[in-house]
Amino acid sequence: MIITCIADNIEDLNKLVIQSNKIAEITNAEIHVILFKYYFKEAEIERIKNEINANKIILLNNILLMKYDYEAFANAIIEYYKKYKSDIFLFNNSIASKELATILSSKINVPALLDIKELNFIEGKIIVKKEFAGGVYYAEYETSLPLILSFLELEETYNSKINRSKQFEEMLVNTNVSRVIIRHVKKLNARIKELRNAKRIICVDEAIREKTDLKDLFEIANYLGAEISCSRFLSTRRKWFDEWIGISGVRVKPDIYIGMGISGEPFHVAGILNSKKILAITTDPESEIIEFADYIVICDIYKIIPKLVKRLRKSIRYA
Amino acid sequence: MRIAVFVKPISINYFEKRKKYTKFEFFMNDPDRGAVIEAVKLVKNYGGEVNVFMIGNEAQLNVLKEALALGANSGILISDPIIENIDTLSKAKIIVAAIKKSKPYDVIIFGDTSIDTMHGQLGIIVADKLGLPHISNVVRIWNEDSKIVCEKRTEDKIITCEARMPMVAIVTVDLNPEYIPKTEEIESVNKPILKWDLKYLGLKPEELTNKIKLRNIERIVQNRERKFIYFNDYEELSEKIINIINQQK
Repeated sequence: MIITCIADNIEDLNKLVIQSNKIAEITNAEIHVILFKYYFKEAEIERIKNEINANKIILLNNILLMKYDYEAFANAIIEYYKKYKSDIFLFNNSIASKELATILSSKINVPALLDIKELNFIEGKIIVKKEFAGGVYYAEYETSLPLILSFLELEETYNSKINRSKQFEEMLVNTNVSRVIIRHVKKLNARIKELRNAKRIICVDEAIREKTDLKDLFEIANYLGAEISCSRFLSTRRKWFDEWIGISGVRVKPDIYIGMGISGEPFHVAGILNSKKILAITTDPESEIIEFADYIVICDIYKIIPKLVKRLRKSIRYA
Repeated sequence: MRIAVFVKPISINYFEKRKKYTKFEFFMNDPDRGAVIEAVKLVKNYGGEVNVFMIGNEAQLNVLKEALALGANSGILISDPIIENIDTLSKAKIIVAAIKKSKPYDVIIFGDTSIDTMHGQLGIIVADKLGLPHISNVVRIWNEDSKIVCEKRTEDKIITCEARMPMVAIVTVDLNPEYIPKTEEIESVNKPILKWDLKYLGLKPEELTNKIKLRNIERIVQNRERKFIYFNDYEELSEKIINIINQQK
């Protein structure tokens, strides 16, 4: 059995190998890592060659693999697949990698289950758990190898008992590029890492009527040492923030999540379920977030926000 | 411009809140609704027609009618008893057969994911099987001569890209404001709906697989306190809120 790890960044590739080692101890699998020459820096490739606990590190070599291009990458991986019939392809869960995983699924006719929560091997069957219906349900699927997977969250550490041989192989591959031409790339100011690492988060929704109303909330966030973000609606429609919290945006795990007027759409709630505590401040007693909250305040948020500002200013003065 | 859009019926059972707004058992997948609205807008601006395809059954016909109420010209229901239990790769096979059975399309539009299974693969696989370029995660789309230009959203970028027609666009739910036609509008739709089966598409049941079998669905249970904070005035409430926040280390 072969598990093949593919990621569009080195940090995630490391995590994939950790995850694969965990799976490999149940399945006795070999672990392969695929790298794309020119896409990864030479220093990154050297680091992987020396440090990663895998059986084979395969460097796919074609000048067309310089930039991320799903068509070029998928065709190059097929060349590898012709030689090594991988049983599990494990991808990281960036948008780009999931797109690549899906194209590979189509090209090699192997099913893909992406963003999975759990993978279990039970009595010769493969059982996969994955979020369902906006993330407030789990679906359990039965499937078989070969399989393409991406995990929602990857193991950060795992002490493997096996020291793998780290054989290095460079493969010259044929490939071709996509027919999609990129005209322009606009970098957004999305605070993904900041939100993922935040201990306190204030999250706002469309109950906040005007962007200028955020001023007080930023002041509260500043006093509390909290990050501030929003629902998908405020990000994509009103463009108030470049990122949003939720299943399709950033999944957060703060000590406390403070929802200000959050309605609690399943797709948002699924992104906050790893919060240690959830405080929901809402005007709507039927808001869906209530079911998932530790503390619930039903009030007029436009009355409580100025009071919070006043009290925090005062407490800072005394401090 | 000839545009095909694929819509998926979603059971209301896992989206309880929506029962307040509809009498139907199935509703249109939200990103697919955005796709239909966008297709209708493109045809209004550049001319042409929109055909909406749905894999489903008669009980889900309101979903196809909803697409027609939104302005699509005609609907095609692809129905067959075996279709109930097939995987994404097989669904893509059916869609590819349906596209090939039709007059050529310039643009084929999919929603980026279905809100129940959240697999998010169908449009990309169909594009690959048809040998067409695709642009995914589309938040804006327009036509320039023989090209379709899209803005694609990633985690931290907006990428403007183009592909020559025919092409596949996979759009996000953000593309259009949510608009759901009223029940009366859906029921009174009087536009052509064709019904196709596997035989008509030239597919045999044994060509379709189900390598991913759904075993069980369970609601996530969270042990949360669900403690309501009562208050006499907003001064008192502000103090209580700050105390709760400060307790969490």
